[in-house]
Amino acid sequence: MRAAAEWDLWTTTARVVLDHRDRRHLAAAESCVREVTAAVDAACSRFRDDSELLSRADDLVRGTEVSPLLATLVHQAVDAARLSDGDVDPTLGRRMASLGYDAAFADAPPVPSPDTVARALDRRPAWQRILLSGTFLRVPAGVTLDLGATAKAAAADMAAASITARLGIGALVSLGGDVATAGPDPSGGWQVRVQDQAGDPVDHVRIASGWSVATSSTQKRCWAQDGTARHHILDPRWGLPADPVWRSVTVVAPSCTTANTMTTAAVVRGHGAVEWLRQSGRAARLVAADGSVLRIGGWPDDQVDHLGGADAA
Amino acid sequence: MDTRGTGRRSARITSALVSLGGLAVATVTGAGLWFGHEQAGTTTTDTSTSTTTDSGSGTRTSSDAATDSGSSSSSSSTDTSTDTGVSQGTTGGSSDTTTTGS
Repeated sequence: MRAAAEWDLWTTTARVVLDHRDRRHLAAAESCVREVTAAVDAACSRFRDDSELLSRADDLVRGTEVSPLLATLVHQAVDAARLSDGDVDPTLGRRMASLGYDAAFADAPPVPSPDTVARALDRRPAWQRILLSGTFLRVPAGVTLDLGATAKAAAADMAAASITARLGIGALVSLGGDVATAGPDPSGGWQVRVQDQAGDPVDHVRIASGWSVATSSTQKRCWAQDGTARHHILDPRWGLPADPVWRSVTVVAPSCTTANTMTTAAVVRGHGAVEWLRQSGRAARLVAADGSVLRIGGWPDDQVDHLGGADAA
Repeated sequence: MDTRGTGRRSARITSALVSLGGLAVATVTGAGLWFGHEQAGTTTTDTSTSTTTDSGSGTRTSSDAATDSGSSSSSSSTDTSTDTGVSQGTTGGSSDTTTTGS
C-alpha cells in the first residue's frame, strides 16, 4: 500500500510516493517537491525570461556570482559532460532551439578584444570553457546553457533527499520518469515499471533505497523537419538528433543525475553504448529500434520481451 | 621337634595370605579399572557433554549459518540490489511509478 500525489509539471508529470504508514506526511512531501522544482525552475528554466539563467545571460558572459542552486546545477551539468566525454553537452541550448544555427559565430562581438581573441583561439568544446569556481560562473559568449538533460534529474534527487531530511521518511520522487528515492525502504521495496511507450516491452524492477532510475527515449518529443524525423537528444558532434539505434535506454545509478547522464549519453553513442555501459558496471536496459531488449550489468533478466504485449499499458 | 607339619601349615597360611593379597590387589586394580573406566566414561561424558554443547553451538552456528545463509541470501538479494541498485520486481502487483523517456 502506498500514498501518492501527482500533478502536472514541466509538460510532464510529477509524482511523489510514500509508504502507506507515512501517508500523513503526503501533503508535506508534496510541498517539498514543489518547493524544489520551483527553485530549480527559477534558477535555470530556458522557458522563463525571469529565470536566473536567462535574466542574467549578459552577466554570465562576463562572469558573475550566481545563486548556490544555479552553481550546483551547472556543476552537475559540467560533471555530466565530463562523465560522458561531452556526449551530454549543456551548451546546446541555441542549437536545440534552432537546428543549423551557429550562435557562437553569430553573436561574436564585432571589435576583437584580448579576451575575445583568447576565446577564439580556445578550441576546447564550449562545455569545457564554462568557468565555475564556487558560485562564480562564466559562460562562453554565444552559448546558451541548456541544463535540461540534468536539471530535472537533479531536481528529483534533491526533492527525494529533501523529504527524507525534513520528514525523516522514505520517499520516491518521479519527475517525468526520472525516478529518485531516499530514506528507508517501504514494505515490498520501491516497485518501478519500466516502459517508455505504450506497446513497448515492459520490465518490473525493484529499486533499492537511495538509488535512482532514469530513461532516455528517441520516441518522445519528436518532430519532423523537412520530412526528417527529429528527436530531442542531440549528438554534440553534429548538432543533430542522435541516430535512433535505441528506442529507449534505462539505467539505475546511485543518483538520478548520473542515471540520466548515462541514458542520454547511451542514446548519443548508439551501438557504442553497450560496451561503455558494461564498463561502467551500471545495470542498464536498452530497447533496440526493433523492440528487442538488452539487459546488462545485473539488470534482472526474468522478464518478458515483446512489443505490444499484454502487459503494455 | 617335628616341624614338617608346621611347615605345611605355614605354607598354607602363606598361600592364603598370597591369595588374599592377590584378591586385594585384584579388587583394588579392578576398582581402579572401574574407576578408571568410570573416569574415562566421565571424561567421555564430559566430552560428550562438551560435544553436545559444541554441537549446540554448532546448531546455533548452523542456525547462525542458516541465519547467515538467510542473511547471505537476503544479503545476496540485498547485495545484488546494493551492488547494482536493482532486483527483480513484483510483476503481479501495482508499481509505485513508471520510468519513461522524457
